[in-house]
Amino acid sequence: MPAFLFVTVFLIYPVIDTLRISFFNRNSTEFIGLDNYEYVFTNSTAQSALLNNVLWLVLFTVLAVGLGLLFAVLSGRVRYEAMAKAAVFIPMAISFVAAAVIWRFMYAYAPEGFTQIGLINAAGTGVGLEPIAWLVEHPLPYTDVTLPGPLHTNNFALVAVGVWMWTGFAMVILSAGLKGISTDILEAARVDGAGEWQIFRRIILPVLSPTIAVVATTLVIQALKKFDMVWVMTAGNFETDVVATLMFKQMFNFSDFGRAAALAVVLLAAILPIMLISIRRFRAQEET
Amino acid sequence: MKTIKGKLFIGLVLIAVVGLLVTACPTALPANLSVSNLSVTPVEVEAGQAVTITVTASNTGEEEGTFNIPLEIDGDTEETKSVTIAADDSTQVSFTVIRPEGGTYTVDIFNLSGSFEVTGEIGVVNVLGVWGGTELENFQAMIAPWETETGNAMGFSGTRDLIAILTTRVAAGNPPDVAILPNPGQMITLAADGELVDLSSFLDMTAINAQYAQGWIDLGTTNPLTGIFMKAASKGTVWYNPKFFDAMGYVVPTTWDEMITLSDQMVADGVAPWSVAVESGAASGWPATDWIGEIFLHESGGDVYDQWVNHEIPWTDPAVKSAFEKFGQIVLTPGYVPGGAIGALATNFVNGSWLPYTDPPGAAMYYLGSFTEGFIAAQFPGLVPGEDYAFFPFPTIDPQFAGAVTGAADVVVAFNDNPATRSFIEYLASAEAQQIWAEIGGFISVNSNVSLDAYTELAALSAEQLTGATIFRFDADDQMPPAVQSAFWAGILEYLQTPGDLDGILADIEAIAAAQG
Amino acid sequence: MAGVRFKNVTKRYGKVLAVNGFSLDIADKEFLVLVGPSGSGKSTALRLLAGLEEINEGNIYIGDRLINNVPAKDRGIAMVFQSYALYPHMTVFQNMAFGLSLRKTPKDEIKTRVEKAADILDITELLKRKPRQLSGGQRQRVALGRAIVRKPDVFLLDEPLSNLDAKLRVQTRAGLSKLHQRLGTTFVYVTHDQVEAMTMATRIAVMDQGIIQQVGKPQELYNRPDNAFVAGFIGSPAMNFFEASVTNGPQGMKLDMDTFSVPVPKDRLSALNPFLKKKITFGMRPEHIHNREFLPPGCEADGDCITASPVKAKVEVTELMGNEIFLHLVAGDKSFLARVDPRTSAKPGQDIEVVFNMDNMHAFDPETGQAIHTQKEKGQGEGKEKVEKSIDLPS
Repeated sequence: MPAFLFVTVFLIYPVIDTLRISFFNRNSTEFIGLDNYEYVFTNSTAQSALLNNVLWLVLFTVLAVGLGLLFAVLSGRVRYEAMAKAAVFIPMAISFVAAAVIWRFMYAYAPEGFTQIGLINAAGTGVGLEPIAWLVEHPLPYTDVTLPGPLHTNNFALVAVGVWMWTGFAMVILSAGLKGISTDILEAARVDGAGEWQIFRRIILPVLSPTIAVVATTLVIQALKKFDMVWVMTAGNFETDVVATLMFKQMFNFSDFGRAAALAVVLLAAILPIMLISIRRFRAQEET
Repeated sequence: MKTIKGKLFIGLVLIAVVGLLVTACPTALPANLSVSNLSVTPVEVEAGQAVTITVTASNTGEEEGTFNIPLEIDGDTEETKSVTIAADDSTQVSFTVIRPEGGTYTVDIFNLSGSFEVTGEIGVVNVLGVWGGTELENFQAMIAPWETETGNAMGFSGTRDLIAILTTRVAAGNPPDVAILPNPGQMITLAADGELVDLSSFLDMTAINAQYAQGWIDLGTTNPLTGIFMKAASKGTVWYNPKFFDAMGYVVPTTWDEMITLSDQMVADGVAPWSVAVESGAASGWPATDWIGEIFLHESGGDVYDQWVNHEIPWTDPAVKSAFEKFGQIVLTPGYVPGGAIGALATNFVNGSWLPYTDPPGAAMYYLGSFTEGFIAAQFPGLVPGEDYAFFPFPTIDPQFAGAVTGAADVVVAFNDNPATRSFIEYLASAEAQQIWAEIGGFISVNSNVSLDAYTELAALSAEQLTGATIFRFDADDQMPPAVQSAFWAGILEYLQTPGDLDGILADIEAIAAAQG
Repeated sequence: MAGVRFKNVTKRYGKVLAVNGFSLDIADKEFLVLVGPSGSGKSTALRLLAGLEEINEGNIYIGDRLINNVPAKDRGIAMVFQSYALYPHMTVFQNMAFGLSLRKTPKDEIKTRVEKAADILDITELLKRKPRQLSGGQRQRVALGRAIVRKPDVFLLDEPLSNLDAKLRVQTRAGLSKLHQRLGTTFVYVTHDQVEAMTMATRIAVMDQGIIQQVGKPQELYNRPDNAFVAGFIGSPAMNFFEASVTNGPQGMKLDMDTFSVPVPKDRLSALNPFLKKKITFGMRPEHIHNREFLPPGCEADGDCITASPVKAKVEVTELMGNEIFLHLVAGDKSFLARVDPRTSAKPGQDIEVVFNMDNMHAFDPETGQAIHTQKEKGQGEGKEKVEKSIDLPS
């Protein structure tokens, strides 16, 4: 009973109230039906934020899991495994805001001819490339090609930082999963005629797939609720807004509680099925 | 337990023995205290004011003695003073008591009693603002006399995220007593929601009208008066390096065309004429909107400016478009700005202000408000203001609006109406208070009773620019509703990235402005 | 279909010599068992052959092909692991088909071969299950099946029975022998259990400390161990060893163990002559020590079989095995084990008279551990080949 009360007060009530507010106007005085949702799905800024979140969802998750897996597999084969792993994992130990600040410096830009404070531009100009304002520009680096949003350089630069932070997490979990695969199976596959790639593709990957799913779920949720890094690095400017930053702006900059609530509901609606799937998967795993 | 009881017993025995010895010993008459003449002055005070309680303490014994004299107020010991009095001598012992709450208090010292009455209550005024560090210290120095005088106190909460915190606190029904907002836009929103106190209900409006220019009063009036302006900044300042100008033979331009001619000459000399820097985290774009506002006022004049700010003309109006394009002329002309538009977008507005003062200068001129002096002084402490760095007034575009200037100021608003808050606002509005910070520096008052002598050289020039302006308008974006302001910021960033889309960008801002009703 | 040849193969792990100068020829279709205690290097030798470890020195050939640098998948081998190493995410069918599908074998053929192998191993009804739904014995058969479908030139089996319970192990031993005959493929089988080696192998290589101690047919190893290690390792219960002095007495040459002595049979005199007045290690298998009262058939009257004087010993422990009894005996300070007729009624603490069947004596050089053979004996050993299979081996 106390647990029920607790959940009601701290979980169910806020969700329902947010849902209610999302159907009201900016200061919740007037019922306006689905107008706020119309905004979320038709306004160009909101659309761009939604698309950016999709980019995060796909690119961030795929890269972090992919690189995490790569590092997990490779680090198992080098002599200084512990050190290599620590190096990849350390970013995870840094606060996200601090990491964002660090990367602002990494990406820092000064016009051509000025001293480049940013490491990346310093290296780039060192080999004769023009400096790139990584967090501002839309065209692909060193070209004039501009892909349609959200495939912009500044979004990629932000996602890269996210990947930098979370690859370590993916690596550690996947590495533990890898260690759990008996070497006998791998040797059996070798004798059966599998090359290194086939062993990876047809044995390691499928055996590891429950672990990969867990990692991917975590990362997907991370991608969906991404806020801190975007807020600190670009504040959502230059079309880098994601749903969470746009929600913050609607709430605190524009005092539009209705739209903020509608964005929150959309975010929740996106995360909920993923959470349900992972809970179900977890239960299934418990049973076997 | 046993040992404790044992020790207690031994202790009791010791005390008894010593007591016996002491009383048994024949000696001189011991020191003995008597008190007389309790006085309480004044017997009636306002809350927060000090009451002095005095007694005469006499030693009637034959030896010097040290006595503890406790002051009891309403039966509780308030304070105990220790005095040493020579044999057969007396001394005055006085206590100072401050009571924050009204009521009658009884005083008792060794059964001598008196009483005093406290009227009113002292208040703590909770203030929310953006200041921290030096600015906060200066503000506190400004408030100190008020605290001493009234016995009230100020509790200041500083936050960089003022709007978010304020929105939350207002929504939660727990607003601060006073907030110092960085622009009137937020004040208008809050006033419309009925959150703000009518300041004219208690301020001496005769004095206010005498000390503040009508323009400032109008800006603070949302029917009724809800804001008092202080800590102003001129936004008609173009910063340059006088020594570099002299060395290159450049002449300070007075008109837009002269400024463009000078810029072209600089490009020909291999000097980048302009530093433009609009990056400011979540508020990126505001330095560019300052440019637009200043250009707009000089090009289209105060009336159209007001129509624009109040959204009486659409954003697609030619006047708005022209201002954007004039700004574009500065940023987008090849060679004018290091790094071009991307450079402007990616450079922080503080860092951008340094370019004219590097060696060699990274750019010749930098437009931003009078507060830019602080950025330069902090980065180049060795430079002499007025000699090594200075500003010239934003040049004239249309001669009929010559001498126009935009500016900004913090606006003081109140959420709660209580005596302490009233007294606080009254004090803040006074020339006496504002003079204090003006003398410390980094503060321009819009109270005309503050003497220009109080300022540093450059600040005095800014103050003069503000008070002497033929047309003064408050910073445009700061007066717009937050959603429009954000759209304006975002729009200018977009314009710099895709100048060809100007019409579409303005149409987007118009859509948002129209939605604000 | 191919033989295997190890030629002076050496494998080191750091300073540890796991396999030392290993040379072995395995004929085509042979069932060779590598047996030895744990750490003897037998598994390493198998893994070298499988291509799971790299060779430091020497050469390995499968058929005529030098395979030192041939990757595991191209060696034409299939391997059954101790843990079975089934792929947990695949069904039994997929497990068995995996190797074939990697080789791009047509689907139909895969199906036929898997079904045939499943039929042989009686696991047809399990094909759709996942490994975790199988019992240990079933997994073991799937692992075998996975190897069978590949139709390898050489089958490698690494202790495939050690995770099975005793009863299943006995059944599976027979099954494996049958399978070998049916497939007609070279089997190389590693085990630490000499019983498995004796029951299944066509030839056994006994390993210890990385070195092959002796290679030979099971009976040969049993009858004529080359050294004390092999003698002790092969046969269960293990051979009794005594320290003995070779002396000459009035009845001729005898082995003197202080508390008792036994005569040396005539045919051994020449071999032991060089050790006269020296010490040797005298070995006697428990099954060749009999209760005097219940002599085995063919032993009673024939003087050759019986020592002149029975040895008196005290029974310490008796272990009734049903068809026989193990007696733990003490004679003076010598403890030894005898497998005697089940009718023996001696109880612990009682004395009993046993006789040593000296025809089956073993003698070893106490310093080198090498067997002291006679020429005649060698001939005998080889002549006995035919009887091997019928010998009643301890289980």
